Amino acid sequence: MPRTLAILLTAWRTDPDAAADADALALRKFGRWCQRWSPSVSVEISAPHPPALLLDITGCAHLFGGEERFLRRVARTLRDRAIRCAVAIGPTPRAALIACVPGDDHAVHLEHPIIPEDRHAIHAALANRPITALRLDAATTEALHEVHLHRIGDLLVVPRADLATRFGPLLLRTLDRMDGSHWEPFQPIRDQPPPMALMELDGPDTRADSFDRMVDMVLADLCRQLQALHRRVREIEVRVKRNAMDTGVVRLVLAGASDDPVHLHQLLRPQLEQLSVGMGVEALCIRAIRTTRADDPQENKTTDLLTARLGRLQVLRVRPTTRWAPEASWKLVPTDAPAARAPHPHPHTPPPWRPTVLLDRAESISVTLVDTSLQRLRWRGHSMAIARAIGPERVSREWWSRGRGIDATHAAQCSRDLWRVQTDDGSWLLLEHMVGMWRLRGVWS
Amino acid sequence: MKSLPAPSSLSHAATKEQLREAIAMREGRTTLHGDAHDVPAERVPTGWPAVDTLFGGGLPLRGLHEWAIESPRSPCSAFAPLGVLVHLAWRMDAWCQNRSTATPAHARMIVWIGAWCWPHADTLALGLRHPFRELEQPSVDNDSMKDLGETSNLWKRSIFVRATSMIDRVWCAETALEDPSVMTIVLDARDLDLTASRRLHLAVRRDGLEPTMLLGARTLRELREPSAAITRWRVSPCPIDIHQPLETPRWDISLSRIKSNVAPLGTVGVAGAHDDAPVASMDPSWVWRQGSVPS
Repeated sequence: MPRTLAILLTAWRTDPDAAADADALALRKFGRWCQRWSPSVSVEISAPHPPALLLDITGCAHLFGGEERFLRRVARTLRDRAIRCAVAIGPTPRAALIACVPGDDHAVHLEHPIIPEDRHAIHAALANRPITALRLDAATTEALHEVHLHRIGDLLVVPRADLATRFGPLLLRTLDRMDGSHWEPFQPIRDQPPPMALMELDGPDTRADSFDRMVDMVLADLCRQLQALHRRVREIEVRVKRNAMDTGVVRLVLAGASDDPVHLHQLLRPQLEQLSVGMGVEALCIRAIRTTRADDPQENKTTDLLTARLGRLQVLRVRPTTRWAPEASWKLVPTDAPAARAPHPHPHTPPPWRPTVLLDRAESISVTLVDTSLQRLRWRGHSMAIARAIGPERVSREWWSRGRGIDATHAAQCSRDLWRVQTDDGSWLLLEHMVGMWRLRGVWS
Repeated sequence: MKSLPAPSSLSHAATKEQLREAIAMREGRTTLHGDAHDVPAERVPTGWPAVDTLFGGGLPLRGLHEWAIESPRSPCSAFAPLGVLVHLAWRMDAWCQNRSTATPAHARMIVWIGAWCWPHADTLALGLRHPFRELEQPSVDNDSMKDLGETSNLWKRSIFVRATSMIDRVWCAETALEDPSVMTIVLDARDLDLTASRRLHLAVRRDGLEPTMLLGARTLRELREPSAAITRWRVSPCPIDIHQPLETPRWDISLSRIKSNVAPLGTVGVAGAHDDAPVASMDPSWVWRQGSVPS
């Protein structure tokens, strides 16, 4: 049996100065966010009534522990995000939507009503709801009030023929949609299919230059579509239908959006050259999987060229982290990763010193101490006198990360001291000392 | 039959000059001839008086400069001379701020090719100041450095490329050179042979390119190998001086080779313990802490 969950946005305020499209766009965005609960989400807008979202949850409720727990979970999630709304589940979209509106007997109104599937049960559950919950036009609602029909229950006892004669067919159709006698169309949010360009040949073609030309033409077609949509591509997928072989698939993620077919072909060429075309190519399909708006700032093309040749994990940027340790204070990320926020300077602690080269793996060294002062060190077979030693700089696990699966004792053991030392030949080194062990962490080279 | 007159030494020199000019024109180089020292016109002030004086204003662009560490008594010679290379990257950034180019200076990138010459990102993240500014001579510390604002964070504009083979590294450098938004390329130039270095040298001199600084990091042993680099430098830790209160890393740099006989070969710009003005030093106050506030 079909089931619908309605979310009535009771506090939605439409800005009269803003375009109506902005409202619809925001609701569609919210609807996409709600697709975490159901793949089929519809937006209900009928001014002056508050907008609503309708989720077709047929076959979904058991995934969330049943309808009651599902409804409570949805209500809690939305409340935590400060979204004021009313939620209800019903057998039809209209019944669920009406059930979101509280009845006139507030004392018996359930916070999260669930309407059963039976027709009589629907009538009984919604009889006390006001006429306005039906979302009729203002003239019909006013006419109903003139004859003292204020609740849905009042309408249900009036002969249907009289209602149709006096108030038109719309009222009866709405009541029928409420109890399921009349089917109500449900128009879920559907994202536009990604732009795609396709070329099919009459027969397999084995020539490399033909394939190259084919890619050129298909990419040009795809870029024309993108330009018409004022979009640029961030990720594309190339499918090559090969004769007597499975379909070859090549994916390309760009660091910066592009709608230039020459540039895209340049990036794809290394991967396509490695793709065996076997007994010939029969068809070529290129899809723009991820796109961005055309007015977004463009990244430079060099990064893409380098990535296309060397691989995504070989061309990197740095991103600051919230860690203190020198080896963890920065993270290398691929160039197509989201942009980083600027780090914040610490207001109180004096700035520490960091070497120009930080070793990937700290190297064990031996250090000679005389009366707790550092005298000599031995590193990679070289014995050097220590002329200056500055430290220690205590580095321990950050207080905000201590709770994550690590107790205080372990955190104390993780702490270490950093020393900056200058050897007799003038070189500066960064040493770390931890529970009787000395290691070399970095070099000022 | 009249024999042709033997060319005099003057006419011979003039012919050579004409030939050089013709070759320069064919290669599309516009800055080679006309300069008394056969060095390109664009120069970036390094902040090191001896070097800037020697080159008439700064390190010349449109050429490969190779750098290596000389530290026989410690294993530091196995590393790239990143202290100096980072300093030059900052200097190039400051120089670009005062130039009007197609790509705005704050969008010009630095490409670090080869994991061997990736610096720690703290050296690229400065709040307001150039790392070596306080230690440079006031006379060469020109106004361009004042334009380094909060937005001048090299870490945001740095691309780190992990390329192991020499072929890949040279290809990456050539690709980056073609991009007008790249201002500095620091290359792991180990195993770079003469042919590859000549390719890079010609690529960086190509006409119509935005001025780009091309720096190569090598090992000391390789500085004896043939190369098309216009300069070759040795970087060594500054000998310790216990009377020197400055507790910062300092290096001596020496020019071991220069192309086109712009100056006599030999050691220049040696400073540090022998001079009150260090050639390159790091000031502990320039590194600032990041990421102390949890997000």
